[in-house]
Amino acid sequence: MSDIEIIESNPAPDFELTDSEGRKISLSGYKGNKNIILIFNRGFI
Amino acid sequence: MAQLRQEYQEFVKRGAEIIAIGPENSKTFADWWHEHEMPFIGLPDPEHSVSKLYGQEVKIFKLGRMPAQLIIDKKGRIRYKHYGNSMSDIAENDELFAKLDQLNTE
Repeated sequence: MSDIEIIESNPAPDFELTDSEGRKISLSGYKGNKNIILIFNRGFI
Repeated sequence: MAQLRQEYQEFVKRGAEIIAIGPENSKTFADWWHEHEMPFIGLPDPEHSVSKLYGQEVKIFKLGRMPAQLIIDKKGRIRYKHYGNSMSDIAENDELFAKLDQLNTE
Protein backbone atom coordinates (compact mmCIF):
# COMPACT_ATOMS: atom_id res chain seq x y z
CA MET A 1 0.00 0.00 0.00
CA SER A 2 1.07 3.50 -0.74
CA ASP A 3 0.88 6.43 1.64
CA ILE A 4 0.40 8.88 -1.19
CA GLU A 5 -2.72 10.95 -0.76
CA ILE A 6 -4.96 11.10 -3.80
CA ILE A 7 -5.06 14.84 -4.28
CA GLU A 8 -4.28 16.98 -7.27
CA SER A 9 -0.59 17.63 -8.02
CA ASN A 10 0.52 14.61 -5.96
CA PRO A 11 2.30 11.79 -7.77
CA ALA A 12 -0.12 9.06 -8.85
CA PRO A 13 0.56 5.74 -7.11
CA ASP A 14 2.08 3.33 -9.61
CA PHE A 15 0.62 -0.09 -10.27
CA GLU A 16 0.99 -3.00 -12.64
CA LEU A 17 -1.81 -5.33 -13.73
CA THR A 18 -2.39 -7.72 -16.62
CA ASP A 19 -4.88 -6.41 -19.18
CA SER A 20 -7.65 -8.19 -21.09
CA GLU A 21 -5.10 -9.24 -23.75
CA GLY A 22 -2.60 -10.65 -21.26
CA ARG A 23 -0.21 -7.68 -21.48
CA LYS A 24 1.47 -6.27 -18.37
CA ILE A 25 0.37 -2.66 -18.04
CA SER A 26 1.93 -0.25 -15.58
CA LEU A 27 1.08 3.37 -15.03
CA SER A 28 4.76 4.33 -14.95
CA GLY A 29 5.15 2.83 -18.43
CA TYR A 30 3.30 5.87 -19.84
CA LYS A 31 5.38 8.47 -18.06
CA GLY A 32 6.78 11.10 -20.37
CA ASN A 33 4.59 9.84 -23.18
CA LYS A 34 0.85 10.14 -22.56
CA ASN A 35 -1.70 11.71 -20.29
CA ILE A 36 -3.78 8.94 -18.78
CA ILE A 37 -7.49 8.85 -18.12
CA LEU A 38 -7.81 6.38 -15.27
CA ILE A 39 -11.29 4.96 -14.89
CA PHE A 40 -12.59 2.89 -11.99
CA ASN A 41 -15.68 0.98 -12.91
CA ARG A 42 -18.48 -0.01 -10.66
CA GLY A 43 -18.50 -3.48 -12.24
CA PHE A 44 -20.22 -4.62 -15.40
CA ILE A 45 -22.33 -7.37 -13.98
CA MET B 1 -17.99 3.15 -20.51
CA ALA B 2 -20.21 3.66 -23.55
CA GLN B 3 -19.48 7.39 -23.66
CA LEU B 4 -15.75 6.75 -23.47
CA ARG B 5 -15.87 4.20 -26.26
CA GLN B 6 -17.97 6.46 -28.45
CA GLU B 7 -15.55 9.36 -28.21
CA TYR B 8 -12.32 7.42 -27.81
CA GLN B 9 -10.80 9.06 -30.91
CA GLU B 10 -11.25 12.45 -29.27
CA PHE B 11 -9.07 11.25 -26.39
CA VAL B 12 -6.51 9.80 -28.81
CA LYS B 13 -6.40 13.11 -30.69
CA ARG B 14 -5.47 14.78 -27.43
CA GLY B 15 -2.57 12.38 -26.89
CA ALA B 16 -4.28 10.57 -24.05
CA GLU B 17 -4.76 6.90 -23.29
CA ILE B 18 -7.67 5.49 -21.34
CA ILE B 19 -7.09 2.78 -18.76
CA ALA B 20 -10.21 1.27 -17.22
CA ILE B 21 -10.05 -0.87 -14.10
CA GLY B 22 -12.85 -3.20 -13.08
CA PRO B 23 -13.48 -5.47 -10.11
CA GLU B 24 -14.34 -8.61 -12.10
CA ASN B 25 -12.14 -11.67 -12.36
CA SER B 26 -9.84 -11.84 -15.38
CA LYS B 27 -11.97 -14.17 -17.49
CA THR B 28 -15.29 -12.37 -16.93
CA PHE B 29 -13.62 -9.04 -17.57
CA ALA B 30 -11.84 -10.15 -20.75
CA ASP B 31 -15.03 -11.75 -22.13
CA TRP B 32 -16.99 -8.55 -21.59
CA TRP B 33 -14.17 -6.46 -23.03
CA HIS B 34 -13.99 -8.53 -26.21
CA GLU B 35 -17.75 -8.79 -26.61
CA HIS B 36 -18.08 -5.00 -26.50
CA GLU B 37 -14.96 -4.43 -28.62
CA MET B 38 -13.58 -1.88 -26.22
CA PRO B 39 -10.82 0.11 -27.96
CA PHE B 40 -8.77 1.09 -24.91
CA ILE B 41 -6.93 -0.67 -22.13
CA GLY B 42 -8.95 -2.75 -19.69
CA LEU B 43 -7.47 -4.06 -16.47
CA PRO B 44 -9.27 -6.59 -14.32
CA ASP B 45 -8.46 -6.03 -10.66
CA PRO B 46 -10.20 -8.87 -8.81
CA GLU B 47 -8.03 -8.31 -5.73
CA HIS B 48 -9.09 -4.65 -5.75
CA SER B 49 -5.44 -3.75 -5.16
CA VAL B 50 -5.46 -0.66 -7.40
CA SER B 51 -8.93 0.50 -6.46
CA LYS B 52 -7.85 0.38 -2.81
CA LEU B 53 -4.66 2.25 -3.66
CA TYR B 54 -6.78 4.99 -5.21
CA GLY B 55 -9.45 4.94 -2.55
CA GLN B 56 -12.37 3.97 -4.75
CA GLU B 57 -15.32 4.06 -2.42
CA VAL B 58 -17.50 1.05 -1.81
CA LYS B 59 -20.92 1.81 -0.38
CA ILE B 60 -22.33 -1.42 0.91
CA PHE B 61 -25.85 -0.08 1.20
CA LYS B 62 -25.77 1.62 -2.17
CA LEU B 63 -25.12 -1.45 -4.28
CA GLY B 64 -21.36 -1.44 -4.31
CA ARG B 65 -18.55 0.45 -5.95
CA MET B 66 -18.80 4.09 -6.87
CA PRO B 67 -17.30 5.09 -10.23
CA ALA B 68 -14.20 7.29 -10.24
CA GLN B 69 -12.20 9.07 -12.95
CA LEU B 70 -8.73 10.60 -12.69
CA ILE B 71 -6.34 12.26 -15.09
CA ILE B 72 -2.63 11.57 -14.64
CA ASP B 73 -0.29 13.86 -16.56
CA LYS B 74 2.87 12.88 -18.43
CA LYS B 75 4.94 13.55 -15.34
CA GLY B 76 2.90 11.01 -13.42
CA ARG B 77 1.04 13.56 -11.33
CA ILE B 78 -2.66 13.54 -10.49
CA ARG B 79 -4.26 16.52 -12.22
CA TYR B 80 -7.95 15.76 -12.01
CA LYS B 81 -10.17 13.50 -9.97
CA HIS B 82 -13.84 12.81 -9.82
CA TYR B 83 -15.14 10.35 -7.25
CA GLY B 84 -18.77 9.54 -7.88
CA ASN B 85 -21.38 9.75 -5.16
CA SER B 86 -23.72 7.47 -7.06
CA MET B 87 -23.60 4.92 -9.86
CA SER B 88 -24.48 7.54 -12.44
CA ASP B 89 -22.18 10.26 -11.09
CA ILE B 90 -19.55 10.13 -13.85
CA ALA B 91 -17.45 12.98 -15.26
CA GLU B 92 -18.64 14.20 -18.66
CA ASN B 93 -16.27 13.67 -21.58
CA ASP B 94 -16.30 17.41 -22.26
CA GLU B 95 -14.90 18.06 -18.81
CA LEU B 96 -12.11 15.53 -19.44
CA PHE B 97 -11.38 17.06 -22.88
CA ALA B 98 -11.10 20.53 -21.35
CA LYS B 99 -8.63 19.30 -18.75
CA LEU B 100 -6.56 17.45 -21.38
CA ASP B 101 -6.52 20.55 -23.58
CA GLN B 102 -5.23 22.54 -20.64
CA LEU B 103 -2.50 19.97 -19.91
CA ASN B 104 -1.46 20.02 -23.55
CA THR B 105 -0.78 23.76 -23.41
CA GLU B 106 1.63 23.41 -20.47
